[in-house]
Amino acid sequence: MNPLQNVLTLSQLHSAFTLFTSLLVEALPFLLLGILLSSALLFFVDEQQLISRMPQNPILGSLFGSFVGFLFPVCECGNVPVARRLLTQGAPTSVAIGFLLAAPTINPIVIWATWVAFRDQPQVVVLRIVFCMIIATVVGVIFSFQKDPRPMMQPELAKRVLYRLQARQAPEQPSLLQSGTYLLGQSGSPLRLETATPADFTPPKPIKRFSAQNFRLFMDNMVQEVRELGGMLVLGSAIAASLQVLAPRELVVSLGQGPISSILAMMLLAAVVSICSTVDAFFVLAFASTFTTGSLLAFMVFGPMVDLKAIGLLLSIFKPRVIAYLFLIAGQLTLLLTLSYTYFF
Amino acid sequence: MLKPDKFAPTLFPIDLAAIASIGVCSILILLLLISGNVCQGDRCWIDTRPKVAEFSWENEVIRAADNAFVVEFNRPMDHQGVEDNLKLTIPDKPEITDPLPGRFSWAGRRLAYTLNFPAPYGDRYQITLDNAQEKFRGSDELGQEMQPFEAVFRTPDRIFAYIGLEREEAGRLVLYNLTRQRKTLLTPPNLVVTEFHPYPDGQSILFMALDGSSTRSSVLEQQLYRVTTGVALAMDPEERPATGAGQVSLVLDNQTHQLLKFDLSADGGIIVAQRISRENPADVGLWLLREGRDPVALENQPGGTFQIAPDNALIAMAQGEGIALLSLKPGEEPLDFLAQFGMVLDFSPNGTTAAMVDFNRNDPNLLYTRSLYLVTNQRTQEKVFDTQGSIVNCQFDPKGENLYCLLTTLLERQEYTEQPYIAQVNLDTKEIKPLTTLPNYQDIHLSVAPDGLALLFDQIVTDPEGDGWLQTDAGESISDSQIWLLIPAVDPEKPPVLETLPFIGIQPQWLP
Repeated sequence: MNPLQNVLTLSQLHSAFTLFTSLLVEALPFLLLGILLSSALLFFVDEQQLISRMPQNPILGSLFGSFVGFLFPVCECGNVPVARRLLTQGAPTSVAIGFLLAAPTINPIVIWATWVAFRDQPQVVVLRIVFCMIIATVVGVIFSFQKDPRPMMQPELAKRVLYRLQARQAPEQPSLLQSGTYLLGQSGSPLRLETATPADFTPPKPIKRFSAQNFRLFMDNMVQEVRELGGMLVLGSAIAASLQVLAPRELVVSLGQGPISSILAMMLLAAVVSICSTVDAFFVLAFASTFTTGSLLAFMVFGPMVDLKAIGLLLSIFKPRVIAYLFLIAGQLTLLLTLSYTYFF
Repeated sequence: MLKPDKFAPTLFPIDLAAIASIGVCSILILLLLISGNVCQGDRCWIDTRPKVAEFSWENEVIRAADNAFVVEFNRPMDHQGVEDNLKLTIPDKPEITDPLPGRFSWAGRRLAYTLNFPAPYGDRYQITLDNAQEKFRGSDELGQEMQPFEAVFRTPDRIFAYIGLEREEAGRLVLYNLTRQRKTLLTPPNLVVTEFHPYPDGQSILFMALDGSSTRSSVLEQQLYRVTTGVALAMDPEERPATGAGQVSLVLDNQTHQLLKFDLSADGGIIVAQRISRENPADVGLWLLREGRDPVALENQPGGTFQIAPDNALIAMAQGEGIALLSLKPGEEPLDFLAQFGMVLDFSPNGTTAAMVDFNRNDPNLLYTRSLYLVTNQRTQEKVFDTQGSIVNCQFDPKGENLYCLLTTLLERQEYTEQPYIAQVNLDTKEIKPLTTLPNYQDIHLSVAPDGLALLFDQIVTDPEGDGWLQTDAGESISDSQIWLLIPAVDPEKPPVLETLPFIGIQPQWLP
């Protein structure tokens, strides 16, 4: 290897590391916030009651999931733990998918940031929200065909859902007839060890009250999720950083030489740069004068739903096949909507 | 117990639903892509060509202050192609080839066209653009040709107002539409108008008037009113606006204070009135009026003539032997005092410069000489010229490049006689070009048209024995007055056009 090539490789390695750390630094607070919220959901909210009140209708469920983002202003990394929690607790699939796709966009911080960046083009702000809602709802409805989420999920995670669903679906079966290891709780009813989460080991009634033991369990749950999801985030960030070095942004941007290819290029760019939805409007503003409004929208709609950095996190929930469906349908719908906008408006 | 591997090989509802959806989406995308290419003659299923997304002057009535329009395309365009193919015309006057010369500037997909001078009033303009092609960044090749674009906009009619002197017009505000040759009497017969200022949108006029039928017979009994002009703001100049002409409303009464003078800010949002207390005649000062609020006393030192600066930041007022720059906040100290100057004549349209007169009282070498200065808001001063005669009035043209001044020259006679004349002063070269000399000197009001193409002025005749309400500053009754129109020639070699208008009136003033 000649010395010049050596220098080039070193500088590439350096920029890859810079990109990697910047992605991590940007995403980690949101992942922690998401984990904090999902753990809080576990310990301080009566989940079963919350889930039982969620709409079972696929369309209403997706819309409900989309709007939950308003309560949890998380980036596209923070929404994964919450969606994961919703799925494992038996929330309707449409709600979980609606939340997973729309929450990173339909939340006050992102809407405000988009408004600040595109103040002179208010239609961009409105269309970003509308397109995102449409896609989240459609994908949510498609996924709601699968009533039982377990076949879509990673086997390890599916196991956690398994017993809970089973218990909900067959309440009439006496617990004594079920096989497994049981603990006798304070309420007198036996607790099956396989289904138990740390929360189940606390007394049911005073659980919503704050206590030292409760806090320890809350922390335990957080540590467990940080270990599982944090590793995935590191992996995703490493992939995104390496790809950006191998295929620089300029190369991706230069692919956009027409109304259709510019949309595709911006979608690809959104997936590769993996920028957080809270700041992506400012990033894409740099392209506002040279790209079509449709392609800018494609970046801002597709980016928060699909990016390389989040793939690792999603792999902790879904099987690769399901992630491929999710990405493909979201991508096709983004192309359809933004290309229609480019042609008709 | 369920086995994990049970899920792997079989097709689940999600697989079927997802594959079906992907199929449907693929077909829709394909249809969208194909339909742009399925054409019958000129018409395709979908017109996928680039187009103008927005034109800022579409169906708008634009004024002299509107000096640039923006065309936004939905795709990046070939700049040169657009510049070569953009055409501005006046459909009613096809003989004029380039009515609105200007310069292009680009910011991505946005094109801004800045006019070299304000669009002449009274015309309907058309913009057309076709044949230009899209061009994406980094690509040398030109893409699709754009959809043809056409839009219209217009400038307001040429309209001016004056205070009538004859028969039923006497003392009333008269509006004359020069474009459509139509006259309208705005104010009722019982009100004698003494001074007026049009609002910037031309929709109404603020005026000071006294009630001729009232028993209180004094010029000091005037009140401030607002009257609607009924000028159309729609694209169709014949369309009647919601409020017709001649609807008068009282703005400021004279119950507690008598009204002396007033000024209206350039944006029409602020009125400043000079009032004198009925209870304490020594209490003379400026009052600030904002729409829908009670008048507020500015508590300033008494002074003479005043003007609100175009930026609404201060008032320039003659005080003692200088110009005080007063804040618009009540009770505040004056912002500055320009002792050198005795008179503020006008502010430039952008508000950065004022034309001021220095009477040279402190310079024995320049005794009896007056100097015109341009003073900027950064307090820099630039002398424009010295004159032995008087500088009566000066007004900036809309671009701020020329001043139209009413000046006098001292005639070499035994008695002291001044010859008034109107001159165009080029602020770049400082060249003074006399346009016309005038026979009468008293109280001439000069008004430069908003597009800068014509000037109006009056020539009054006084009757020292008369007892009419309308009087000169010297207190003489005005018995007659002719209104004149002066059109400076575009070609500097040619003389200006001067004509008398068939109206008897005073204070002619163009509507913005």
